[in-house]
Amino acid sequence: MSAQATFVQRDWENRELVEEISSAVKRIASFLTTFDSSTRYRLAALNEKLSQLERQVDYLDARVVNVDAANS
Amino acid sequence: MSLATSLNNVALLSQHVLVDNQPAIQPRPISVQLNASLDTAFGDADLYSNLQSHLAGEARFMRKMYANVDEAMRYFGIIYATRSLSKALPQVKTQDQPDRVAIYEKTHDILRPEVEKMKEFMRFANRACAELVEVIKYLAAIYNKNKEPIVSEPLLLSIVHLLNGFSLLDNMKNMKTAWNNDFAMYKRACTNLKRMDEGETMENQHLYLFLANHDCISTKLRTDVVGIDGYVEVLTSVVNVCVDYYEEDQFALPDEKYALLRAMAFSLSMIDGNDEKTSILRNKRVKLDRALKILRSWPIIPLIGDMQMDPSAYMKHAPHIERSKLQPETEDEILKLQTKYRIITSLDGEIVRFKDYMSRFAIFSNQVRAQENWEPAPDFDLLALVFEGIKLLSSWTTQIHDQAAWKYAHPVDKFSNRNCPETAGEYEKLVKYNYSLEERFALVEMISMIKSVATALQTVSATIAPLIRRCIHRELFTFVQNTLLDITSHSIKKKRPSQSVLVMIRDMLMDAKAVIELPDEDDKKKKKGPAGPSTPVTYRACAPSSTQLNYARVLLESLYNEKAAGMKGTLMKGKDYSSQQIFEMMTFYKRSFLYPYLLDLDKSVLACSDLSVLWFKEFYLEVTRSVQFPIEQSLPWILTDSIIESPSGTATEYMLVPLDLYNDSANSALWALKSRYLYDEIEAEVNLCFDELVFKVSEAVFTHYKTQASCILLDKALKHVLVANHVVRHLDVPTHRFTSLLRQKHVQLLGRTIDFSQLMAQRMNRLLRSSIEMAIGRFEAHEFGTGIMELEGLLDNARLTHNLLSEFLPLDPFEDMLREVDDAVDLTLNNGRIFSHVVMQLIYDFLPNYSFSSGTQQFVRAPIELSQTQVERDAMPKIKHSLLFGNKFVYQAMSNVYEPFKESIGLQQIATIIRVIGQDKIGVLIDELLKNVEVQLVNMVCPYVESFMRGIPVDMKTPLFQYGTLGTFQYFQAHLKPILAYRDLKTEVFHVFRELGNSLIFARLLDQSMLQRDLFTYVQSLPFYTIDRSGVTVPSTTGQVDPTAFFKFVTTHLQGQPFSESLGGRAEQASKLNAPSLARKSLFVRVLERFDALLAPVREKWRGSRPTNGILNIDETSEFYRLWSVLQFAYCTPGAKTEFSTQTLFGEGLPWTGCAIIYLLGQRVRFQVMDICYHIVNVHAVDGQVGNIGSMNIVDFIQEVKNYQRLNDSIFATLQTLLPDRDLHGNRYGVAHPPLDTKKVPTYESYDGEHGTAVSRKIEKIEAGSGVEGHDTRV
Repeated sequence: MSAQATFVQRDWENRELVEEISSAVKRIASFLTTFDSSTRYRLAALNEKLSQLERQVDYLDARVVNVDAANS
Repeated sequence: MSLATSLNNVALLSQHVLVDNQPAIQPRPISVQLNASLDTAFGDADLYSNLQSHLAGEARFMRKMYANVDEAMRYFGIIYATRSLSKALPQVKTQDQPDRVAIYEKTHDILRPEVEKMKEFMRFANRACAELVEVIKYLAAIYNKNKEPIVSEPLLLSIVHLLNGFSLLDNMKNMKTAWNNDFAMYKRACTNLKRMDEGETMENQHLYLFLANHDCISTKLRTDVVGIDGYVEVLTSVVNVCVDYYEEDQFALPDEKYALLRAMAFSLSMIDGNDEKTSILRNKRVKLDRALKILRSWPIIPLIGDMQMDPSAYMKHAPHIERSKLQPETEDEILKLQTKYRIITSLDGEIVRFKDYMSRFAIFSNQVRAQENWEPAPDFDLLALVFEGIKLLSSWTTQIHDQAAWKYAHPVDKFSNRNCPETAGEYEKLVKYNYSLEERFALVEMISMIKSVATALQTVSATIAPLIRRCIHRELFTFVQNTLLDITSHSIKKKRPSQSVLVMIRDMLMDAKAVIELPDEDDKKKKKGPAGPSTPVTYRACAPSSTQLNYARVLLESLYNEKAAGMKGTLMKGKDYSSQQIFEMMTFYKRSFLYPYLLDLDKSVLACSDLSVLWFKEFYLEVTRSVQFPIEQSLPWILTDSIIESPSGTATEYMLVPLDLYNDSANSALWALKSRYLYDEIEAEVNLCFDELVFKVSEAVFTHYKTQASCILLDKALKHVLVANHVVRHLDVPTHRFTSLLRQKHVQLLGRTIDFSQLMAQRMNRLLRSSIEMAIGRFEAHEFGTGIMELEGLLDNARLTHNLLSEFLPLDPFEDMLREVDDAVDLTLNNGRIFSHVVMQLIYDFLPNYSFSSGTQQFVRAPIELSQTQVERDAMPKIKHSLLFGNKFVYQAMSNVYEPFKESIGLQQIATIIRVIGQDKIGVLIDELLKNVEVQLVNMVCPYVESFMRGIPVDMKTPLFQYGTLGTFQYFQAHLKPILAYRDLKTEVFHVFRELGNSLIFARLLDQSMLQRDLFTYVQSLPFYTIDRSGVTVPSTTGQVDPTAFFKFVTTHLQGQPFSESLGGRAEQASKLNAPSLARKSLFVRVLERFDALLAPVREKWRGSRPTNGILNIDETSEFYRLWSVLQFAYCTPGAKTEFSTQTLFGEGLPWTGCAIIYLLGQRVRFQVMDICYHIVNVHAVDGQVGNIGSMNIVDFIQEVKNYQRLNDSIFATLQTLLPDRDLHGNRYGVAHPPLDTKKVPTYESYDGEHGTAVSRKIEKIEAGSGVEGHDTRV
């Protein structure tokens, strides 16, 4: 194999390695995007439940605020 | 950690299940954007330089050219986004101004950085021109050397792109004046400050000319190029490349298409000389006709944003090409062009292409995602599929750009669009009124298609990237191993000159992993011809580098180019290659054109789906000297608003698509135009738009679900009748599809995440509260009868709306909202607004002012209101249909439903009261009612009764039968004259008794209603209590769990737990508490009992004195029933014909009070026997006298009495059924003892019913004493 061919061959191999790593990084980026969407969805669902509970507690507070006074 | 482990870990990522149940109606948000371009951009050119030296030189040229193209595009963005600073700077008005120098100095300081930028731009333009001239010189030298040289297409393409860059810059510089103004001001400041040295003055002079003169870059280029010998040949090749690439559709990105057109026009204008000798018409090589035809079909080409250019303008420099030939001439031609530029004309076809592509792509992407390491089948062309997506995107984006350019070039006027007012601004005429509604929807549909395909490609981009590379590697080495090996072997064998090039290509691409053997390594093998791979080859997930591919393509093209030596066969010697081989080489050449776009798929998709230009409006802001246009003139908002306002609602799911234009624009502002203030303006507009969107959508959603709820609740048959009789126009369920929109929990806008669903929920909560507020407000303002019905209707409607919306949105519980608005949140208070209003209306309006009729079982408002208290109602709230029943049609229909309830109150409304205030509040209601009864009784009835009792003449004895009907009547009339003449008798007195009676009747109807309701509930709940319809508990069948037994079972298994011991007992208690009561106590009976108790203080007095005869008072007037007889006489005596009858005025409440008191005092029998009116009737039954007394006919009186008698009997019968023990309760009647001793005169003991037991014992004693079994006789 000539020196030229060796260079080309080595270039192919190096590029393959770079491509492999780059492809992995792309997959990580893509995963992060999907993960971000999914997490935001789950957080929104959780937030929804929490704020609903918070409002419920506020409501119940308002409902019983005078009960102690009335009992005493 | 080793690389293999890391890669393995990355592979494991795909196994994570990432839940996101949000419907995808928005383009895919990109949280992490990775621009991983491995394009070497000729950086590795040296690696191959020893193969062919001229290739390395060309690579250097191309590198420079593309760097200049990038720089040109940067300046293009800067100039477009630049706003004139001079407008904001104060001007020096007079030379005597004291702060003149300070102003100039500040102006100088502020504008200097801008001017530096302008100078850099000028230097760049000069440098880039010089470099282009150098390349043209290089190529011209080749042409001069060889008449038919083979010039590399990639180099020509780089010239095309740079010419395009110059064209863009020139056009931009000609139209934008911000820099000119700023520079003029700077120059003035410098001159006044005398700060410039000679060199700077010179440069400023150049800059002044550079900025002021139009087309100065192209003029300079033209001047420089014309001096080169052979430039025409080079530019002819440029034009021809443009024509070929355009015609063969060899471009992928929208900008590339426009680049070909611009460079074509620009080059043509440079080729044409001024004289006949240098006329373009004499140039045989240029594909002039084809070029002109192409240019003629695109008279308007977009520049950027709101700017466009006319390519024919270049022809003013080409004297031999008529400019008019490039422009449409006839009306017909203009119309054809207009049709071509409009999206709507091609939309249907594009939708078909979209659906076809998406279905094919979905199958592919599902396979890819479903299987790890999925490999395409050999016959599956992955590259073609992906490239088709890019081409589709590109074609649609181009269409949108073209349409926008056409619209900008053709503003609308009041004749072409009658909605366009004469006062409309310039920009409004270009955008707001220039797109018809159909065009807006077509545009939205097209944008949606672009974003869908882009999303589909982006979603799988990371997954398919290695696949694409492997496919490219496979294609490349299939070509190398088969076609190229074949040709190479043949060339070497025949010793053809092309063999060196072929070997070079092979060496350049050489990859030992995929290529098994080389033809020139072993002569034996060469002789045998090409041999297939002996061991299976593996293909890398790696594509050739851009330099490698570029070189290989250039060399390959040089082999089969028609000018190549190998392609010129002679009679004796044919071409070097067979037609099949030529075809294969061409195919590979064209195919490999796609590779760069596929290798950087993300970048290609972004470039093809970027629609930011639809927002930018810098040119018209400068022209109209505006700071910014209102959002109503901004295209993304116009499109969004059209969708919201669309009555059909079919495009609802596209609502977030136009908003993505802001994402594109912001991206472009930051990365392409690099302008912070443009981004800030976009952000501000988005904030405004989004608020507006949320407001409008929430209104639309609420109205939609309200209307839907109304349509569900409205009786179907009634709906049909109302529509058929044209009472309302339509009552259709709306067709908007908000479901996907309402489920959006993370909408991405300018990098921010918005929980749209929560925003909607907040607004729905607020609107539902407003809706309940409106319902209660209307109830408080309405007539009670209609009000209560409408209130229930509105509450039901709001409840159903809440149910429908709760499916998608996290809303507060409806009952909580209702309590909140009803001011009934506090547990210690048991009355809310509704309850208080019901009580108020009942006590102060209904009971005093309504009269009851048992015939209709209805209360109707009496014609004259005698109540002292006037009930004031609140003002009716302003009608807002969305808060009522959704729309005005349903409101009309519902008004029709409630209309009949306006005048009367019956069982239906009473049942409604129970439902609305809740059964648990009935006790409080009754309590309030009885309190009122007590007040009335004590304060009004008792004083009246007592004074009337005193007024009854003591000597009024029942006259003898011989008096006759008339005589008897007149007898009573004469005796009762003072009472009958009492002024307030027929108003105040009757009114008081009526109110009391109404209370009782109301309680009775309430009881009836509750009975119906309880029965209904009971029958429905029977199966749950394992009770059959006859009320007998049946053994539990299989599958039904007896709760008590279950909990007892649990208790035994939970020994020791803190709560376990009490569990069984509590279950038992709960079961008993919740089980339906089989022995229901009547509510009305309880009311009567309470009424009876209220009579206790006056009972003794109203019973009158003990009968003097020991048995019965006959002519005594001290008992209550006597008074009632008098009152009955009064109300049975007909008044004047013009007066309202007692029945009409007071209804049956009046006799109900009398009868109830009489019954509860135990005076029923005496009343029935000795009532004076009944006596007259009895006399009349025998003598049948008729005649008039005054104006009154006695028969009318008799008839009236008979009516009341029947009524009284029925009331007594009712009371007797309900409270049988009260009939003779407390009656004073004598007990006639049987004679104990016949010699003794029988004695009478008075009997007091209330102390019956004691007296009975006394009797028993007597009986025991006498030894005779006694019995009492009741009279």
